[in-house]
Amino acid sequence: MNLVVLLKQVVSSDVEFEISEDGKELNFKKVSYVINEADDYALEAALRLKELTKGYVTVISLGPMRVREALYIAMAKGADKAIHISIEEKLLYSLDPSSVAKILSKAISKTPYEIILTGSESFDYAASQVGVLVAESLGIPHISVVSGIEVLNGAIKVKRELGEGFNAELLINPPALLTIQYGIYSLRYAPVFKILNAKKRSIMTLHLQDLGLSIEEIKPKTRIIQYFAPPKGRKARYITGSPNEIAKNLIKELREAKVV
Amino acid sequence: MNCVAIVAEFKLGKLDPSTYELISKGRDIADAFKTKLYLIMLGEKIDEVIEELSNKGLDQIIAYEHPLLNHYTDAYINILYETFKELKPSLILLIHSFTSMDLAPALAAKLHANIVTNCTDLLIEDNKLIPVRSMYGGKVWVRIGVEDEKPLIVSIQKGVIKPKERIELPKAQILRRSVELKEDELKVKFLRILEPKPAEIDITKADLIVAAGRGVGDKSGLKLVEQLAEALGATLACSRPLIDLGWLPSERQVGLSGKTVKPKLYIACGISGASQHIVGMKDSKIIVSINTDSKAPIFDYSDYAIIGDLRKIIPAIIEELKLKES
Ligand SMILES: Cc1cc2nc3c(=O)[nH]c(=O)nc-3n(C[C@H](O)[C@H](O)[C@H](O)COP(=O)(O)OP(=O)(O)OC[C@H]3O[C@@H](n4cnc5c(N)ncnc54)[C@H](O)[C@@H]3O)c2cc1C
Repeated sequence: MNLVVLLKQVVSSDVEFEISEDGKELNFKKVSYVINEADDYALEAALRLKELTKGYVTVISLGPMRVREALYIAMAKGADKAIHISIEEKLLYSLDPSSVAKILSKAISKTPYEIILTGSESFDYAASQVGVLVAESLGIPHISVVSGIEVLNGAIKVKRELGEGFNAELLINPPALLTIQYGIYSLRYAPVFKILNAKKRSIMTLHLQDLGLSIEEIKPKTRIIQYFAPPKGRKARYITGSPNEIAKNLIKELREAKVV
Repeated sequence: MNCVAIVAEFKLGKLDPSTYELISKGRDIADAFKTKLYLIMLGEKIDEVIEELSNKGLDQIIAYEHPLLNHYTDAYINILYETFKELKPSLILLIHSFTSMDLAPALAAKLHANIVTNCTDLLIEDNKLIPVRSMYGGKVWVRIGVEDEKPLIVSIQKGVIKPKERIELPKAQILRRSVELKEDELKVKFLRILEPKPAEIDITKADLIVAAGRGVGDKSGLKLVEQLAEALGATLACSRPLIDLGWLPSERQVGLSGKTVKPKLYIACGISGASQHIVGMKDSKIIVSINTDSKAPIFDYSDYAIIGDLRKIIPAIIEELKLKES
């Protein structure tokens, strides 16, 4: 089975930034990059399907040079082939989900696939659009928020999350796209020596020209016009001091509020 | 502007109350642009729901009833696509949910519409619609500019819009439409609903909750949070990653895919405050959070904020509780 994983590299959740005075951009103070968590689960699901079906896993990532690190980790975990669609940081930041989906589907259409997997959501943008948009552009069916996969004869049985512990069991025929939910399987780790070995392997690099795409064609339809601080749902009282002082003050407050 | 259309949100065959949030928002926008508000509904036995929604401020309800529409499949995409092709709404509103995560982008692709998902608000400024959403796990919010010639699809988080009280509500015109559906023509075939395992505890009944997040780091960190719960006589709950790691059973999970709780006290330990977690606990009476990251979004929803390492703070709180007891 040919499996394609769309893998995004995102800033980690401890990212720190300041909003520029005019609200037009973010000035990053502390950034490190990781594989988007839900995409890591998509990769894990693909690797399990590979083991089960003697399959072949191709991982695709869009972004500047830094995303190669994510691709090497994916190869160290067991991906067979990595494709880097190279684009500059600045251009990447200006894209919206529809532009990203356009680029990815162009790249996929040159790759054999039965199942395409990606995460249910990205940490940074959290739009949950790219997977479904790719499927629609390739004209294949899709199931979102997948929490289980079982390969049958020809078809695949899929569990889709519905909330509050409920799931729907569904049947779909490949080729199909699945967006994978957190926790579908436990994640494997890539030991450092395997990552170092992966770095000796080659990554296929594609540019927008190779995909026959012009800047005009990937023009975003939506764009961020202003960044601003999140509104405060409640106005918190900050309790400060040594751990003992904090504990004393907190318990005093909670006793006065008669909750403990 | 042409009309505004809402897609009713159903959950396990029942109307989800978040639909009222969409109706309230949709009515405001339709009034501002002097246009009509439609609601499209797909389901199996929906007579009661139609009746229930008939006087809630909608101009028209379009209802599709069919046994195969009891659960979401690609049939929804096809029916709504045909409906919207004909109705030509300028704005389509949905709740950001397990259903719309699949449905909304598919509709956008088919209708060549602009789409902004997972929004926290939808504003009107200078006669333009401005979707508002959060990014980076809630650390920053953004306003989105949209090309305006095309229809716009917007999905909004559950619980962020407070429905307005309205006095004069005209009766909606009801349009029932029949659909021909054949199971073997669907690309996604529904088999059955899998129910959650019977729970041993019900965290929604707890008065006091101490919740652990990924910030516990490892099982010894989780143990500390458990000890705090014990010392307070509180129930232990958690954010999703601890379920995914297999450290706690799913019945303890708070949030969109877990339980919604409203205890008198909710202490969040090492939880960042992603919207899917917030939706499940934001109506708790008193919220305390402990987090090392001074910019963690959870603090925006807290009454008491403690910036610090839970491994140092929690033992001190447990000591303090013991002290008062003896
Ligand atoms: C469809 C869907 C449904 C979802 N449903 C849910 C749901 O029901 N419930 C849910 O919770 N999530 C849900 N999620 C996941 C959600 O998006 C977040 O990923 C999740 O809530 C993050 O959990 P967390 O805050 O524990 O972890 P993180 O976001 O990783 O945060 C950990 C926090 O701990 C802090 N920390 C680290 N070390 C320490 C320390 N020593 N002391 C104190 N603080 C520390 C960090 O600063 C950070 O803020 C869902 C996601 C999707 C896509």
